[in-house]
This record gives sequence, structure tokens and C-alpha cells, in this order.
Amino acid sequence: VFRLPWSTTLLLLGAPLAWILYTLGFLAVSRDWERDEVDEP
Amino acid sequence: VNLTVLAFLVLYYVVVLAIGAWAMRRGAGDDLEGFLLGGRKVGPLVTALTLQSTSMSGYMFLGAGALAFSHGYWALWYAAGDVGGGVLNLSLIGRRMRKLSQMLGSLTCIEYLERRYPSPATRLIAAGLTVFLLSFYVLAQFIAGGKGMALVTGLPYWVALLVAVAVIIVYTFLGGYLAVAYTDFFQSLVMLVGVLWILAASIAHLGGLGSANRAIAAVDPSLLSVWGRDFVHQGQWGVVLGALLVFSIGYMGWPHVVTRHMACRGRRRRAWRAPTPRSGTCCSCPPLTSSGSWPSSSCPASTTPSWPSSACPRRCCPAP
Repeated sequence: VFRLPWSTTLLLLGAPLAWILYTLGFLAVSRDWERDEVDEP
Repeated sequence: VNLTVLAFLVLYYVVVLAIGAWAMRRGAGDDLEGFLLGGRKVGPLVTALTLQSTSMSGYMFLGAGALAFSHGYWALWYAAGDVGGGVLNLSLIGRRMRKLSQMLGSLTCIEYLERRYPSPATRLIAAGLTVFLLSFYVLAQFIAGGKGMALVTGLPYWVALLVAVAVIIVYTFLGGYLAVAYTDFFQSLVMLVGVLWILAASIAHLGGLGSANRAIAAVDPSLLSVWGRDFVHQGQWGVVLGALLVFSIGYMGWPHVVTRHMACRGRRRRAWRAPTPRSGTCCSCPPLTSSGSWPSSSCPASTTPSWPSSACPRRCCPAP
């Protein structure tokens, strides 16, 4: 892609994709955080 | 001296100093918590952007471009870790630091460590390390600020350095953390627009990504690889791992970054889930790295690594 070697393309597209997946996972895991803290002082 | 650039720079300094004065009038200096942590009332959007802004050091704007200029797409290893540094930081320690620092009544990360792990040695070691290591870090940022300003304005380096440092010190003393957070917020927007502008202008100037990479290959095909010029880092997985980790987990230990967590408003807010850092770093890291590579194709004879930071925008962006 864009005249880049396959390894460079993999790094260019794969790293952001991995972090996007991490973020989605974090958003899913933390969806109850606000509800959990309602009863805290 | 470029007067147009200078005028915009003066305008920029007026804005950040005005933010400092505004923070002072808002009561930033009323008590120590107000000065050091903005009263722990800084909202999620400002927290997210100040976190990213403070993490995007002089390295990101001068060093990353210079690294890519010298070693091509090898610099992407650093960007790959950096892209996720913000969200990793928020997701792992953000909420915990906010809760624990308030429970322990800590206003600084050293105070937090001392109360979390009570021992006379804790403060001594933590303070000693912080002062020693951050002195070099802050010095590097000052040098980067001075060099960046000298490059774009044409002012002598020592004048640029003095002005940049003086403005930072004045607004910090005026408004404490609140001034720092809001100037960071403003600066991060300027940086984001600037970086995306350079990216778009560079692509347009070079005739597209494919053409840019073809031009780089004409200079040296190894610049397109992930192993650096002349494949100097090929198979050095330890170096690769270091490049990936330095800006992904490295953020979490920086005292000035940890402070952002401690100052965020209310634990029930959505700050730790704010998507802003994610989009901010995603947008800024690859363009900064790439815009360092592409000048190597349009000016292969240059041997000055700091050249891309000023010359790329100057060559590619329309003149004001």
C-alpha cells in the first residue's frame, strides 16, 4: 500500500488498529464505573 | 525575522498570558490545592487535552520529525507506542490516582507516594529522583521551545529561549495548575490544527502518499523499511521494544502527567473514558513522524535533523 513494504504497511495500519481495539475494550469494561461510584462518599 | 510569524507568535503569547491572568482571578492562588491542582475541578475535556499536550514534549515536535528524517519509517515504532500512550495512561492509573490521592490528602505525586508507602526514605528518594531527572527533562523542553521559536521566527536562539521560558514561568506563577491546564488545552488545539495542516499540505505538495514514498525510495530505499537507514536496526528486537514502550508506558511515571489525574473533577465524571486523548494522539503521531520522512525526499542533501520541523511546513504550506 502506498508503495511501502508489507512490514511497514503492517506497522502503519496495525498499531493504530490495535490501540483502537484496546480503547473499545476499555470502554466496554468501564461502562459501569459511574454507577459503581454513586454510593461512594 | 519573519514579521507575520512573529505577529502570530506575539498573539499566541498574549493569549496564554491572558489565560494565566484569568486563572489567577478565578482564585487559583487562594489555597495550595487551588494552586497545585486547580481545586481538583478541572473538567474531562481539558484534563484529556492537557494530558496529551504535556505528554507531547519537544521530542514529538522536533525529535520525532528529525528521527524520521534520518531513519525514515523506523520512527514509526516510537509512534506506534505513542498513539496508545494516552488511553493506556487514563485507563490504567487515571481513576485510581484521582481516588487515592484525594483519600490520602495528597497534592503532589511525591506526597502521594510518601503517604501510600510511609517511610522517611520514600520522600527523599522520590524527591531526589524527580528533581534530578526532571531538571534534564525540563531543560530539554526549554531548549526545544527556544530552538523551535528561533527556527520559525529567525530570532537569535538565546532571545527565543529567554522569551519562551519567561512566558511559561509568568503564566505558571500567575495561575498555577489551572493556568497550565487551560494553556495546554489551547496549545493542544493549536498543535492539532498545525500538525494536520502540515500533513495535508505535505501530501498535496508531494503529489500523494505513493509519490512521496517513491521519492523517498529514490533517496534511499532502506528509509521505507521499519529497520532504519541501511537497515541498521534489523533484528534488534530489544531496541524495537524500547521504542514501543518508551512513550506508551513511559507516560505513566511522569510526575507532571500524574498530576493531571489528581486534578480532574469528580470521580463520577466520565474523564477516564474521554475519547479525546485517543483521537488527539492518533491524529498527531503518524503525521509528525511522516512529515519528518518526506522532507528527506525533497531535500536529500540536507544533513540537519532539525530541518524538517521548520522547512517542511515552510515549503509545503501556502505562504501567509
